Amino acid sequence: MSDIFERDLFGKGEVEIIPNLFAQELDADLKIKNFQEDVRRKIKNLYGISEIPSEIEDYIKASSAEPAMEESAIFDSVVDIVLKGGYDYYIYDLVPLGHALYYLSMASIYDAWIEKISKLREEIHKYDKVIAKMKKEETSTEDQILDELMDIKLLEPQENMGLDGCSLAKLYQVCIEKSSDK
Amino acid sequence: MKKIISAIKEFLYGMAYHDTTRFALKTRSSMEHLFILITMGDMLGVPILPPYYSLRLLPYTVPQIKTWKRRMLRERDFTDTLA
Repeated sequence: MSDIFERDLFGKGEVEIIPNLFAQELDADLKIKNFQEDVRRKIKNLYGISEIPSEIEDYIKASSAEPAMEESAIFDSVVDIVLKGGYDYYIYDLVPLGHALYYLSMASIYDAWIEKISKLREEIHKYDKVIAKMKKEETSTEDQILDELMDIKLLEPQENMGLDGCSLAKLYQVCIEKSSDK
Repeated sequence: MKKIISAIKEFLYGMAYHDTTRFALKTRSSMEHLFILITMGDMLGVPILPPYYSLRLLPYTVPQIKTWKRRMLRERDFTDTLA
């Protein structure tokens, strides 16, 4: 993006290029870092602890090095931008074709995965209710994990960005000359 | 008299439901561990999808992680099927 517009846009948020044309180059590393920090904060608040248990901390740290983590973070940021609204059209500049197709198919894989684990979670919640009834205990109507999954489902990139064959989304291939200084 | 009736009721209730409750608890626990395995399996080296969304679920599973790891990694023999 910085190459196309010959301006440094990386991690600078929405930058107005010309009137009514805004560009944004996402900083995936920063997004992942902030996301991990949010997870840590949530754990500390939920359990009233000042330090994250070492095995959990290791997992959080290691997650940033996992394959496709960066792509997922970018995807999440793009969904946020689209959901926030405020623009008439969105042009999503993707990586070269093969990677782009793989990248877009990731949305449907996530979709299926979230659907499956949500169903499993619903089953677990049903068992919770049955057990509470048998033990004559108060039934908890809330399952925080199920709520979180519903929240993720609401943000599903496929549906919200029209990537599943919606007539409003188009995929164009554009060839640009690589900048000579690289 | 009321106490005796109540005790009999509890006794019959226990007789009828104890096993079912135990079974339900066991199934629920297995399902919970299966859930953690398919969302955070990479903690034990089981490859799963990129853990971006798993991390969102992590805060709620923190208390179960230790038990889950112990259950997944402990040695098993035929007596486990009897429990």
